[in-house]
Amino acid sequence: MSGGGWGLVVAVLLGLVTAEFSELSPWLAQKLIRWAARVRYPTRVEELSALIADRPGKLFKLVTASGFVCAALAYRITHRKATPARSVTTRLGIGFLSALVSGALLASEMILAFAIDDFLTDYHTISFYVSWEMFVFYGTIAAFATAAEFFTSCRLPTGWATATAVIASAALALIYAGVSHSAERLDEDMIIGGGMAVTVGIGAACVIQLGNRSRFPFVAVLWTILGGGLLTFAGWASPSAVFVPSLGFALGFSAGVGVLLGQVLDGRRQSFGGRRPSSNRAGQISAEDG
Amino acid sequence: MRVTGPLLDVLEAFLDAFEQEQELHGWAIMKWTKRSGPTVYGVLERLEDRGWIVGRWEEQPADANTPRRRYYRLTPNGKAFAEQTIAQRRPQPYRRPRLQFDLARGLLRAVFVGGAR
Repeated sequence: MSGGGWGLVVAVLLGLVTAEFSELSPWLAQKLIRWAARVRYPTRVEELSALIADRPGKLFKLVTASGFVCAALAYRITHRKATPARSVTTRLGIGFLSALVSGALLASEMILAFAIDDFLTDYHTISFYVSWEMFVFYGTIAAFATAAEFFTSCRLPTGWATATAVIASAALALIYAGVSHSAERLDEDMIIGGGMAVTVGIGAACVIQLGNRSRFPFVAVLWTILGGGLLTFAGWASPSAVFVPSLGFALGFSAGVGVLLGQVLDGRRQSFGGRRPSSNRAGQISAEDG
Repeated sequence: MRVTGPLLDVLEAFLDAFEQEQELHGWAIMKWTKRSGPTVYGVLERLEDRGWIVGRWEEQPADANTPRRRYYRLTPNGKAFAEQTIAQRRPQPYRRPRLQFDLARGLLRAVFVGGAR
C-alpha cells in the first residue's frame, strides 16, 4: 500500500476511534462520577450523576467527572482512616499465607525451569525442593511479608521508618546470603546481600511513607515492583547469583500479598472514603433520601 | 467561616436565585459561578453544614432511569449571612471575567492597536 493509502486508513481509523470514544465518554463519565461521589461525597451519588447528565457535551462530561475524580483522590490521600490494631497472630498468619501463595507461584516457576533444564541436560535438580533450604527460603519470604504488612499498617516517623526498613532488610538479606550459599562464595554473597539490603531498604522506606499517607492497594503493587524489580536488578548484577532474581520477585510478591491481605482483613477497601467526621449533615441527608 | 472567592460567587448565585424565587441545582451553580464542580460542592458542603442552605430532591423525572437533581435554596439565616457578607466584601455586583473573551480581546488589541503604531 502506498503512503497515501496508509494515511487514508489511519485517518479513517482515527475517526472511528474518536467517534467511539465520544460515544463512550458519557458512560465513562457516569462511572467515574459515581466512584468519586462514593469516595468524597457519599450522600451525593445521585445528585452528581444528575450533574453529569445536565452537563452539555459528551467529552465535557468526562472532563467534569475527571475533576471530581481528582478531588476524590486528593481527599482519599489526605483523609485516611486510622488503622485498626492487629494481633500478633493475625500478622503472623498474614505472613504465612502470603508465603504460601507466593511460594507456590515461585515453586511452580522454578519447577518448570528445572523441568526444562532436565529435558535439555538430563540433570535432576528437583531434590532442591525437599531440602532444608526450602524452609529457609519460605521462612524468608514469610518474614518479609509479615514485615511488609507491619510496616504499612503502622505510623512511624520518617527517620525511624527508614532505619527500621534498612536494618530489617539488611538482616534478611544477609541471613539469606550467609545461610543459603557455600562459604567459598560468601564474599560475593555479602556484596549481593548489601545490594539487596540497600535496594529493599530504600524501597521499603518509600512504601512506608506512602503507606503513612494513604491506604491504596497500589502500595502493595508498588512494593512488589520495588522489592521484586530492584532485587532482580541486584541479582543480575552478579551472574552467579541465579536464585536472587526469583527470590526478589518472591519477596516482592509475597510482601504485596501480605499488604493486600491486611487491607482486605480490615475491610478498608469497602469502608474507605467516609465523609469527614466534623460533618453532621450526612445522616440527615441520608434520612431524607430514605 | 473563611470567606473565599468561590464562597462569594456561590452566595451571589443564591441571592440572585432568591430574588427570582428560584432554586439552584449543582450544574446551574457551576454555570453561574464558572467554578469547577469540586470547588462548588466544597462550598455547598460548608453552607449546608451551617444550615445556610437547604436542599430538596427533584420530583421523580419522567424517565425513571434519569438521576434526580438536588435543588438548593438559602434559608432565612443563610440569606442574612449572604447579604451581609456580599455587602462587606463585594459591594459592586461582580461577574467573573470570561477568560477566553478577555484573551481574544487582548489579542485583537495587540494585533490591531499595536500594529497601527
